[in-house]
Amino acid sequence: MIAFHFLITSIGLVLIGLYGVITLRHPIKILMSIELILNAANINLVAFSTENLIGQGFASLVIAISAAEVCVGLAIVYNLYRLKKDIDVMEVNALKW
Amino acid sequence: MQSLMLIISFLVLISALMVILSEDMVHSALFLIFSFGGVGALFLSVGAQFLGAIQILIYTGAVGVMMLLMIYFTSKEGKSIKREGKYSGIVLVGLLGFLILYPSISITREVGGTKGLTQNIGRLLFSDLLIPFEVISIVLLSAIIGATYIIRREDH
Repeated sequence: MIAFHFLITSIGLVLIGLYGVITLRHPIKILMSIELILNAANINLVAFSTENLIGQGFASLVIAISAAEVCVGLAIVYNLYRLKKDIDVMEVNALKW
Repeated sequence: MQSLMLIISFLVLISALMVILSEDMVHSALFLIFSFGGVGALFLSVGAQFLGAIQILIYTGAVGVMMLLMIYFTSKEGKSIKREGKYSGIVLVGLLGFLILYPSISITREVGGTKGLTQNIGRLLFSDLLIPFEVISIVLLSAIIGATYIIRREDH
């Protein structure tokens, strides 16, 4: 199995996720874009762990980290919605509510 | 097998693009779940069986359902939030993509080959990756405590 389409998939996922993080303004969509970037990293880690399994073990650690990240991130988004009733990230410009 | 994986990669990329471009949040979350499933199929195609199963369980199950739940909690009727700075974002990402793509299309080595069975991954996690594994458990515990602390009501 040639590495080409794994590389193309992971590059495409990184670029799409980066474009989403830069341009989107809905915080849940920004979290989705971060998940796409982490998935792209996982694809490369799994595809190139040929001699030993270190890459796959590390990818499982990345999956655990991203689950923790989405848990805390969605808690922050829900708290933001409860406090301001508006979750446009352009409107959230005050550190003190 | 090769052409099937090419089709799956294409579908993953298309659905990831639709996550960004679709106006409806629920459609976007469903495309995200489809993209996660396609990545799981890519994992299975290089022999990473444990990670394919974990990808389906955690990403398409837990993360997808949590995204949908939060979308239903925080949705507003008739208000869609647009993107900002579309064209400058395309220029920036395109430049970065050219920089990454140019060295990586010359890689022609084989991928896969090792069987990522649950037994082997478990032995690895408790021998070579023992310290990262224990640190991950502390991180998960503190994430649970932090999320419940953030999301609690003030008046209780």
